[in-house]
Amino acid sequence: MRIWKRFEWFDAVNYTLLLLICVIMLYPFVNVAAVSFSSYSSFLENPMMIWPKQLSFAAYNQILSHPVLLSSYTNTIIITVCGVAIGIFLYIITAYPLSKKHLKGRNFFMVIVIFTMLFNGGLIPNFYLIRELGLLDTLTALVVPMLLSGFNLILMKNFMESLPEELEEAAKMDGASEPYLLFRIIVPLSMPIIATLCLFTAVGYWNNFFNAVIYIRSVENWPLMLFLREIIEGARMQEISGANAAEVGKNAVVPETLKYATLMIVMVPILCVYPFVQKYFVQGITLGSVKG
Amino acid sequence: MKKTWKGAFALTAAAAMLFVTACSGGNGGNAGGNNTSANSEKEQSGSETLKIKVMANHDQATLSASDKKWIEQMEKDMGVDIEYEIPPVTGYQERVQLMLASGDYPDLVYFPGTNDQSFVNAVKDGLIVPVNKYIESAENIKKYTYETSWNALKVQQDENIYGIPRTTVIRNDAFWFRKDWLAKIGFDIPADSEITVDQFTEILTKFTKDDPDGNGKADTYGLAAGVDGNKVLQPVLTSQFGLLGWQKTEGGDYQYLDATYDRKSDAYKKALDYTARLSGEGLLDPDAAVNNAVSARERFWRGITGVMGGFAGHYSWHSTELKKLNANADLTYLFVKNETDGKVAGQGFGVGLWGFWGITSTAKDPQKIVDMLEYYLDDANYETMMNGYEDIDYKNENGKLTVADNKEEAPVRRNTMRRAGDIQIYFTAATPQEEIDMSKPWLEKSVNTVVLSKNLDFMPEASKKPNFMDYKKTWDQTIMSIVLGQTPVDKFDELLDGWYKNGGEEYVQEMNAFIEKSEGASK
Amino acid sequence: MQASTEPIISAQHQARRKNTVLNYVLQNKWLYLFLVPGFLYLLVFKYIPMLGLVIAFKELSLVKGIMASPWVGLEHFQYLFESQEFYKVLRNSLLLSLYQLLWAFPAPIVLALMLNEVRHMLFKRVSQTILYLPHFISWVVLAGMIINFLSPSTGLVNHIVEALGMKPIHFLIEPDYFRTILVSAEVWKGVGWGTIIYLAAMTGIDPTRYESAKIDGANRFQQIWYVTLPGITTTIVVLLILQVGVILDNGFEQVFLLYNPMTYSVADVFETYTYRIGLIDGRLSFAAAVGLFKSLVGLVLILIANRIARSFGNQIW
Repeated sequence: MRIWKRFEWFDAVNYTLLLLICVIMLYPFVNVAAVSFSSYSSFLENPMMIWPKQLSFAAYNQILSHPVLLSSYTNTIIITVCGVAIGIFLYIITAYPLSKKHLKGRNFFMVIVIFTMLFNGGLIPNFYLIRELGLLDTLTALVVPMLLSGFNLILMKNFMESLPEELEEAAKMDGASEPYLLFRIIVPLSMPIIATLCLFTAVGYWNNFFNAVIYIRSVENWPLMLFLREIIEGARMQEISGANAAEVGKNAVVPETLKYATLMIVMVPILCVYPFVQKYFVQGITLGSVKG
Repeated sequence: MKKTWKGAFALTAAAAMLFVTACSGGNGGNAGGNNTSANSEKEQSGSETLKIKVMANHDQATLSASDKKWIEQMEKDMGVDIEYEIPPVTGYQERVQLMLASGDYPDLVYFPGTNDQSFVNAVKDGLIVPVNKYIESAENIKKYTYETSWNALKVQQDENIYGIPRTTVIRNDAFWFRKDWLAKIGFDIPADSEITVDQFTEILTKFTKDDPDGNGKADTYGLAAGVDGNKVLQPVLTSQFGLLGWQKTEGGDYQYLDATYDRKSDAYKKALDYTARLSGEGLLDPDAAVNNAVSARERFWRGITGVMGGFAGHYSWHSTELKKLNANADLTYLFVKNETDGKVAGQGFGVGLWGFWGITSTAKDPQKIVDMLEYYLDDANYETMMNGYEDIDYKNENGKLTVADNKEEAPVRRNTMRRAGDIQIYFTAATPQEEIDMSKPWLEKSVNTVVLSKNLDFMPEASKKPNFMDYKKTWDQTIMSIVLGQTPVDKFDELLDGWYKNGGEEYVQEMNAFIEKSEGASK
Repeated sequence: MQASTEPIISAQHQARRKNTVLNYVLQNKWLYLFLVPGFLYLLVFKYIPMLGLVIAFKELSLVKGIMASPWVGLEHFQYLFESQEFYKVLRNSLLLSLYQLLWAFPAPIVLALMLNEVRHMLFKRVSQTILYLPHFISWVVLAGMIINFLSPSTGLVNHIVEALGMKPIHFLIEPDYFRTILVSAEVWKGVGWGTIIYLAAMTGIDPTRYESAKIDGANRFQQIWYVTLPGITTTIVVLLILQVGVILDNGFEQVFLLYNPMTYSVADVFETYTYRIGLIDGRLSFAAAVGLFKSLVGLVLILIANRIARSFGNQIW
């Protein structure tokens, strides 16, 4: 009887719709996974497959046995971790003052931020800057350009604005200093947005390859995405330059399955990170502290 | 607790960053050459060895064992130090731009074409030096390079040649046909590999309608058509209707004209009409309008289509993939004759160069650099250049040569310089003799039936004006629409008139001036 | 007692208020200190390169460098505005963005609301993870799938069309279908990822408000309408304003991969237009001019949008 009482049509419809949507979302991923484990010919035969045919690890072999894989993976992990840590710290301390409606000069600061979101000097000026700072061919050059984005900053400021003001007043009356207020009270309450930005910035760093094209000169400093892209583009170039199968030998080119395998290698680690972030998206848990 | 977490994290991260900067700083913090050098042990301590810095576009950024060995060989034989900078393929164009902007120039730079904007600007700014006097002693380069390549590199409209071509074979590409399908429809393959336009149409029709793969379903089509690099679906047969690029006219308003733009000729309209008919009858791959070269080829391999334009040297590439899906599949290569004079002739692709090498003004010894490129083509080194080294590239099993295990690509060795017209490069020590015997006549025919267009890839100033560039959009739209049968062929007259009005007139005039000059110069 | 001390306190307050700015900054020195690192970063890494926008007014020679390249004033802009295609491209960019605003903007909100209503934790976590997957699939791969899907000869959609007795439709060469296909693809790719920010905002909603709503007799829909939605309104407005600021941006990859000359009339947008011009001419200066134009328009629109939002009390600043 109790089960029936909790059953609502709303839920039935909601769950069904979500299930449907999940299936639609899932299909291409399944397709990508299936193709990456198949042979090229079975891909040609049926590009829309959802189950691997002629199971083949050729694409993965080609990528995973490549000497540059390990270094590029390590590079990307370092870049992502450093970039997220420093970035989140910067977002927190920069968004907090901006979230205070009483801050003098607030409009001016906001306009400055908005400007950076809209105007960009382009390839050459950014290159000159990094070069003058002596950062060419360093991992730092891959971290710094993406540390602070106006969009994320505005999101965090917005979230902090929505926190009740009574908190600040109560803490101030207890004699709290501004840093204490920020790090001990505001930050714990802002975990949802912090988690969100961690995710956004992490993915941003993980997927970026173009900065490396511009700033990096040695292969040891390549990030993962660049390495993967190069495998695909290099394979394509071999095709264009007229290599025939006999010439190429054992490292035969398999462009499509290769592309799909690189996609899998990129996607899987991020998917592993996400569950850790999920727990911050639980409703109501943060506001409980206000009442208490 | 959260605070200490955050604080600790941030501190660790900052520390890691500093650590990382220090480390990678050691790896090379300058813009210049710190890249894959084959001989980092060779000391620059007071040695007089000339250093040559090369910036090239190859499909892998690290040098393979074969390439390293080749570079060492060159360094030893020539007494130089060679340093390679190979940017990622995905960003070569941007890296050339950055190189130009950085002030730190290599000695030898690869450019993809004479119209590459970075190259054009570099020449204008005096960064690229003419090579005329340096090639005087380069016998092999002179012998094995097409005249048109040199002409195309005279980009300042004077006698100065601004680069060393990376020569490729100029070919008139024809079509691959499914041999098994031809057998099924009962078509006899002519010994000289030439067929007429009508026969071409007939084959395409039967491939579409007569179930050549015998599976009982009407799921096959004739031609594996696709769009070109600009996403335009071009007419399927052009030279067969007399379209051979820029040639001397017989009277008329201009001395030289591309029949496409000739208001008195209906050659292009015929080509359009022919293709529209094929499309209307469903003989082209229905996906043609969205197929790029890769998908067109994949669908050919899948057996959706039976005829595909392509390069004659790709037999084993295509047949290997085909056979994986269909063990009976086989291929042959046929040329379509001109419908009026019955001859096979086709506009060759490009001016004979697959990119070229520019020598910068900061190079200390341009002669030595040209000598290095000459080295590749010298008879003494040519075979090693082509085939590589024993045990690294090939195995010698009792006189029979096969591909070595774990053979790696060697783009520096094989893709730096080529000899014009040498179809042998498409065969390696490992190519089976039957394939060589079969492909050789096709390749030779491809090479021998080339007719060169006189425009040498020249782009007149008129082509860079806004109305001209905008009209290109209209042009592409109309052509594609005609080809797909959505617009009548006669609309072309109107299109051509519009073209002349929107800068086409200047274009033709400037092109004529250019051709006259280059024709006069080469006499 | 308080009545007599009040005037004295307020007088003191007024005196303090007179040395406003400096006093304020000193009183809130931590706040301004906090701003220093971030704004220093913006100054160095965003504003200094921004000076390079002068390229739009010069004929850039890479070898000469930015400083020594010759000025051409508004020549590039003239070229842009004189071009017949400019107005078509502008129209296409705007229309496409409006389509996106209409469909791709609300979609994550709706989906986030649906997800928020799920009580079953495992279902919630698994479905969220699944919904994020499309975000990571590159456009190159996705476009390839779409082309396969819509193929007039081998595509699934046309198999259904034929089964229904009609002739196969060549979707990708019909201008009428282009916007629908593109926006659907963008929704598919971005809706899951887009829910993240809304879900984060929803965690800030006081659960007791749901309880009071339930006590007042609200059903599920009403709870969403009167509690959840208002709770995320500020987030929605912020994102909307920012979206308006980039209204002339359409994303190069997806358009380029899915368009062709037959659909130029609706599909050609700024990014693809500049790309084709750049191919022929490689002019960094021209690209910079187009970028500057788009940025200026975006700036004006953001300012207007923020002013409008301010009148509803929902501004960004």
